[in-house]
Amino acid sequence: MALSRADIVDKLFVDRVSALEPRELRSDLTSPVREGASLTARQALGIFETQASSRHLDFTARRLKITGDSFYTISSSGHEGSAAVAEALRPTDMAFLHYRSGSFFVQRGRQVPGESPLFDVLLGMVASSDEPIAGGRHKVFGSKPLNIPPQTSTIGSHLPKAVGAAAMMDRHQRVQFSPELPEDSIVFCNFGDASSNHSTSTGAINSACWAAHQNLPVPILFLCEDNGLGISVRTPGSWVESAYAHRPDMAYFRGDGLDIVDAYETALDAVNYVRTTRKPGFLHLKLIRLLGHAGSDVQQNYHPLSKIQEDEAKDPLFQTAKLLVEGGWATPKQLLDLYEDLRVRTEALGKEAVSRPKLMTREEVVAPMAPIDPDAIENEVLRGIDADQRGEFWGTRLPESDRPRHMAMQLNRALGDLLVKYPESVIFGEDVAKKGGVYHVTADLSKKAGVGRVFNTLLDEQTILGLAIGAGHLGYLPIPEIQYLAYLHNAEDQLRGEAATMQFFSNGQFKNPMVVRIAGYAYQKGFGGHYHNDNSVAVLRDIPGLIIASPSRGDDAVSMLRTCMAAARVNGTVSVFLEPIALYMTKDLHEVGDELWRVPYEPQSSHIAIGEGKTWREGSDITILSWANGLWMSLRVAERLEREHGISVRVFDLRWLAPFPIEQMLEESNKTGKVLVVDETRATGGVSEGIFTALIESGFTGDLRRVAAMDSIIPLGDAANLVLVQEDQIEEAVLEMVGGEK
Amino acid sequence: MSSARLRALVVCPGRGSYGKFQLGSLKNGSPIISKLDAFRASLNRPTITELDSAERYSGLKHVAGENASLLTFAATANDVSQLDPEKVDVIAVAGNSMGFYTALYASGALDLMEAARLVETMGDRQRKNVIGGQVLYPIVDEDWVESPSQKSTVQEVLTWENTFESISLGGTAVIGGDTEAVRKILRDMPKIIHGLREYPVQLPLHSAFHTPLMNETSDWAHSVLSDLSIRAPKIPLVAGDGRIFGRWASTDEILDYTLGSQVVDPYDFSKSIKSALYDYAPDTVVLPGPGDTMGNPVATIMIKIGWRGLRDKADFIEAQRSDSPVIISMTRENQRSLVVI
Repeated sequence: MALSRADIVDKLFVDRVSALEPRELRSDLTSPVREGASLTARQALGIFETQASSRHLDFTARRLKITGDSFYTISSSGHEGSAAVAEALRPTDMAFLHYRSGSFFVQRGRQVPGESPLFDVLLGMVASSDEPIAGGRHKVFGSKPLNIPPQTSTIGSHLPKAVGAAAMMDRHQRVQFSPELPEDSIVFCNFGDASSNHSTSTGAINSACWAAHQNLPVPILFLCEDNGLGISVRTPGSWVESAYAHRPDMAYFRGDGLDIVDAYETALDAVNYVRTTRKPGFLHLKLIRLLGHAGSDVQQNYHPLSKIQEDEAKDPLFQTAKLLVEGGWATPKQLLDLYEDLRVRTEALGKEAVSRPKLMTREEVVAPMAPIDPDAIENEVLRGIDADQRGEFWGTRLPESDRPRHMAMQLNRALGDLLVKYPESVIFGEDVAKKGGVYHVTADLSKKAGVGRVFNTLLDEQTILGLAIGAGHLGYLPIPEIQYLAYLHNAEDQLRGEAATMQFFSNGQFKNPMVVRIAGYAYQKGFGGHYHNDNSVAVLRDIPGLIIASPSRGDDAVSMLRTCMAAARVNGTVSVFLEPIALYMTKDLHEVGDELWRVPYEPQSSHIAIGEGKTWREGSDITILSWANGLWMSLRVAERLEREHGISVRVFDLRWLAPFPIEQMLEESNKTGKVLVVDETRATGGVSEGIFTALIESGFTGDLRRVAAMDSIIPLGDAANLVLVQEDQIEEAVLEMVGGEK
Repeated sequence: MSSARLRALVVCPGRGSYGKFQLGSLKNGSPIISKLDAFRASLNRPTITELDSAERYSGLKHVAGENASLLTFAATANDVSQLDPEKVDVIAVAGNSMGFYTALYASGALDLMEAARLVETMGDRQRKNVIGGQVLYPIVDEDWVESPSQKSTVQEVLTWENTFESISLGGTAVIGGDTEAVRKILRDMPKIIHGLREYPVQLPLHSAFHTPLMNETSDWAHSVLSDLSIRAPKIPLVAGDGRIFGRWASTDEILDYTLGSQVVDPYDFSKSIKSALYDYAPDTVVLPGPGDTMGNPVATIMIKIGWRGLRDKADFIEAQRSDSPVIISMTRENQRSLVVI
């Protein structure tokens, strides 16, 4: 049987170390491992052990794959120089790692007594539920005690949140809240040369520079582990350096990732720079990829054998062994004994890992996804706000003393009170500070709470959501704003792939609570079009565990916002708060001057639970299910139909698009036996599809129809009304459904 | 290296382990016992052989720290020396409390006489100088499965004045405190019958080791033992905080830990065993000397982490009956034969 590349790399290492000439052994292990280095011999010996451990983890993964026990073979071989970077950092420096970080992870594990990085990695490979971070849900590098939030990091999507954590690291100076990390901590984030091209990476690095350019602290060390290959695609030799060596306000450091002395010294310089200046640093380590992209990858198909062999000859593990032997710090035999000992150990640990339990039920799989504790959330909502602090914030005129006002104003007040209630809360987004947001929802909050807590970001939604995730990791309670629903879509993966997965991938140990406010939907008079009046929410609805709140009137908006914040605090919940732009300033419902869409502000309103809808209007002939703009239109139509046709229409507001108030929906539907869903989102992929399914699966057998927006991009001006749901469509549908009987 | 050799973690017992059943177990006249006898004789103390040959097990004689310490060390070291390298490959060494001193010897970090000096010096300090005390309380049920209620009882007691976590000993919590605190624990902590004993139970003549009450002792140890001749261990040595000192470890760090943190900080035996199992995946755990008493703590740790699929006492007993027991107690002849010449 032909030897695999792993076997070849393994044998080559043993043969080459055996051939090294032993030197007279030195015992002064506190001496520099090489003249002029600050890395001591003892540190270097420790790094060798880490590198060899990581190498054997890769071998074991491949062996376990053959027996069908391992599900993950992307290796760290060739990237073992990252152990030297871990050595230059502290375990309290939060690290966002990519998938070739075996050596980094093991090295950091060695810095914290009682950690078992080898076994933990093996448990991850075999997807055992005993794995301490993800509980068998994915192979990730992550650990609570090691300050490594887990992620899969396959598309560089971990960079925005790493930048977010860094940007919030020093904010405690301006917020009455301190993260539980040493004050001079920095954030670390690594990725490959290919990932450095991803828009998430370029955007995140750009944001870090943008902030640093204004002297805002962003203590982050980026590490680009440049092996010259993105799976099969070659990275131009000088590309990474050309792209990142001259960015504004970001220092560039270049080192040899195959030489632990150079890697350590360069990393130490970079770490010290970031730690002391609080500015971003970019560490570029040139290294190699051994064993192909993953176990299933046949690199010979796209990579000449001569090049593969050339890389294998550069094996960084051998380079470290050579350094140690030639320096007289260890004999070849000692190193090979350790290497073989690690082989036996990882095999034995792998055997134990294989015997460990797996996730066996659906309930186990989803348990940590997005836990909701309704009682605790209600208690948190009802927890009062200190009257003196409120007085200090609002001044002599408390908002409740004002006359009834529209939704935008009431949201502003609710946000103000939440800033008082949660000293760790922060509001940020494009234009939210001085301008007060496009629709003035955040007006004056920056002045009242301070620019440290209500601040503008640059124009990049990935950065905004990444900032929220990073802030959440540090213990903040972020309220990011996305200016328009259409702008969410370029950044949506920060919710889908990152924020909403965090509890799932960390078994609830890491949380990124947040309430993402988004101005959305259509019907905006005098403005609009696709880019500002998007009505697509399907992309949010299918994210498991994500809460979607969508109020219609100011009073509900206030209560629901409080619920979302309480859930964020209590359960680490990620919520999207979808605010209908067209109803922000709406005053009236049925006729001009009735002021039915204005409400008084209540500082302590009654609690609206997540997934609790509301019956706005009793009726016996037909039930309309709707929300947001659709609700407002439905109430108007219902009134007219009653008046003009004597039709009694029930109107029920879902209020929450995820999770649906299914029991209430069914109950309301069964009261009339006829249901019209008024859906302002698109016919295909729109919310009504989910409502229909929910009702039918719950056993509803009556008449069921819907009016929904056309499958069209929303045009500008009055033409929008040609594709959006209109009141006459609702009226017509109701008449058709009950007309024959009345 | 023969693949048939058992890859073993050796766990050295703490001071209170040498009991009446060990009397007479050291009569084989090994060189180790002879050297230790000579050492004790030079100090005008009863020799190991004298203590071991006593007609009766005497609380005052055998339990007192100044005798029990070296007696336990001698019995353990003697057994370690009898491990057959053809049968067993010691891949890591750990210990409980004073057993860490023995582990220093078993790992090669201290030679026999330096280890004896350390044990004797710290043991002798106990003579008429017992500071506070240690109390045992089980945190597992009769099936050796962790009991949340018993655990929370312990947590509550640890909030009492001058009461400290001393040793996390698998299924048993060892609580340390000053004399008044120990009195209160014995009086007010809810009584529980476990096995044949009622708890809480005080360890006789034991100081509140591994608590801040020992700060002075630690300072004193630094002043009289700083010249201890420590070498880097030949076999990885697992400390009471889960740290592993390998072959290139700093001897200054080991010394500092041994006389400092080991004395005044909680000794997390559970963490150290978990660390050793999860780092080395030994085939078995060998308990030398009078270490049979360590069987329960090690087994309850294994059950807690699901080692080799163990979920409770019944699983453990079954595993012990197999050809490859997860724990080999050298006190038990049938198991001893698996590892000695």
